[in-house]
Amino acid sequence: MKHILVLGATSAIAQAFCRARATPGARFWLMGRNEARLRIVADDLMARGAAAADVRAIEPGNFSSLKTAVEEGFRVNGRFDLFLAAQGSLPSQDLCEGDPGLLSKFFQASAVDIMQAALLVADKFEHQGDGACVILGSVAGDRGRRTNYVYGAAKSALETFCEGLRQRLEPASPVILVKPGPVDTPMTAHLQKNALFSSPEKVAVAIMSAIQRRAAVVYAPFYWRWIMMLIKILPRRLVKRLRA
Amino acid sequence: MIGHEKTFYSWGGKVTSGSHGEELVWRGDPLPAGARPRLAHGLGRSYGDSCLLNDGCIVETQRMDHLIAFDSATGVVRCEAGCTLAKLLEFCVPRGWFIPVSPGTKFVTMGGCVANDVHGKNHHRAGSFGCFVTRFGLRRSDGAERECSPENHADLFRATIGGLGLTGIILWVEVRLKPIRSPFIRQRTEPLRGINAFFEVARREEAHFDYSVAWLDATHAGTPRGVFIAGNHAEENHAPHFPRSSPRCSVPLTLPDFVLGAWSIGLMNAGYYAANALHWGESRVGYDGFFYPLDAVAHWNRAYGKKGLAQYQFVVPMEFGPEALRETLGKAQAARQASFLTVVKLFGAIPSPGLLSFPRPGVTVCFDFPHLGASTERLLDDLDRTVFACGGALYPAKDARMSRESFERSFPRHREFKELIDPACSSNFARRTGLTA
Repeated sequence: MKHILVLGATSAIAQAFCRARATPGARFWLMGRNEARLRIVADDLMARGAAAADVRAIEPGNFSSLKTAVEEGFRVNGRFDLFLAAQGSLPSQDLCEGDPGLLSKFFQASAVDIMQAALLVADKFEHQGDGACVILGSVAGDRGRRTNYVYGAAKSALETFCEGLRQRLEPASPVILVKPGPVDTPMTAHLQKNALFSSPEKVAVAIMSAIQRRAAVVYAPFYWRWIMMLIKILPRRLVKRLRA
Repeated sequence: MIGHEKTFYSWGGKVTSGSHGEELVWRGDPLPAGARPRLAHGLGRSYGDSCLLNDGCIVETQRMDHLIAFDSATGVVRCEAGCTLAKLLEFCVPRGWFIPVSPGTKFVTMGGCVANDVHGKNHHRAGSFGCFVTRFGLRRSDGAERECSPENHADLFRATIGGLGLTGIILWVEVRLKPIRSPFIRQRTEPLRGINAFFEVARREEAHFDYSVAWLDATHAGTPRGVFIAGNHAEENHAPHFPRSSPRCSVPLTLPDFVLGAWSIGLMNAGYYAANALHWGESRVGYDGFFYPLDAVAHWNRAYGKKGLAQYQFVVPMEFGPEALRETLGKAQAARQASFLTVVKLFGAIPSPGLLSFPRPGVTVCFDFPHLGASTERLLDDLDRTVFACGGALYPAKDARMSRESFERSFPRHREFKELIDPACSSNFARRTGLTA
């Protein structure tokens, strides 16, 4: 697990994961929206002992910039052992309901970009004969909720996408969907923290163990599997009257 | 920058009112706009109100924690101000380097270590944290980032070390680490009896140890007793050491006030003494246990109840040491105020570059009282009289009450410092002591 390709490398979870993997010989290809921030992440990984950390700024919705960056990554590094897609945001549900432009922008960056990147990577992995795909979903994708169903919809789109891609890349490449519960990151800075919040470092550990086990869908922390199992079997008649 | 209304706490249980939190996640980001005064806030481990600001904008830095560069040949590391000592230790100890000066907890940020010019058990040999800072990045309210070092913006360099966060927002810090050959400490403990022993043993042993401190049982009636604890980094690496990245256990909620009463504090102090008395002499301990014993319990401050704790740390010149210790101890006992953790340490003569640096040659004593309201305030006022009669000073990082007069007596270079305060910065401490409006 030395060559790592990341989309959304400035995300707190992606950073925590990369830091833990920044050992001598590790090579990172970091893609994201903000070049100055990507540069900060890259310097951090280099200081920790990584052999290389290159950055490429991707404009959301600009497929050619994404394609160039992915292809260049494969050309420079030769191969990748892992593709991690952590790009995404948590939009305000209220604003999305009133602003169609915002809704499509959000979907572009948090779902479409990721699928496009994963498809580019899938071609390469098929050719390579190995490589793991890790995509960050969310427990919010398991069931729609009044307060964040736009966010949840993007995450559940990724889940269905992963299911199909997993079939396509089986058995050479595992496709792993990681569904964290709420995590204390800049994305959730405006939310009131409670005992359910986890840390990016814990999610990073869960991702690593999922890769080693070649798991298909993992919840992080693990107990969300049981919580979401209960929530998923709640009858729709009851759920539609919930307000949370 | 992500802003929202938020209440901030200091470790001693002080709170803000009317403050707004803004997270600074990336060092290139602009600072919050607007006319409200601002203050950087890391992990809020200052005890008093130097890390708090009412009706202002508190810039939270703990997510700004990237490493920027590390030179494995010289041990010079540059990292962002929100990086904690815990994270830095996790990085540098396996590579054979250690933090040059460690306070009593590793859950503090690098920015906080600079702003308070923290000291540790090795002050007699090494000086304060500021002595190892080679340069740092400071963003002032004019928007520009300045790289400050002894050569470059030397005035801001001296003002920011120990400057309580008032000279701007520290973005990154570069320090010289210290080479080690093992994560273990060869520790030596020795019983102390009588006030003079605290000075004689320390002076005798100091030459042999990098680290030394004395714990005093302030609840013990009769001849004062304590434990002298000293150590050196072990020479050889015998076994792997797995430090705690997070506390082992936690005080989940604020305990009722009676839990840490005089009686229970006395019992715990006697227990600590008895535990040490079982094995005087040398032993090998991990660095976590030696430097950061209290870090094993998260939120230990909650054990002090709703009113929190009142830390009181002062330094007096060496010649007044025994007298000041005897008098303050007597006053605390006469007031029936039990101090949970009392520490005595001799400071060395290595000067800090900081204008407002607290450590200075002499002896420092730190008391740790549960806050009982007016009676505690009266006692602390009384202790002030002893400290200032001896020409001493109080430590801002642990203070929530010193007056402007006490501050100015403690820090004779306050006028020089005032000139360098960033006009947009303030804190509750600075307002009380007349540093800012």
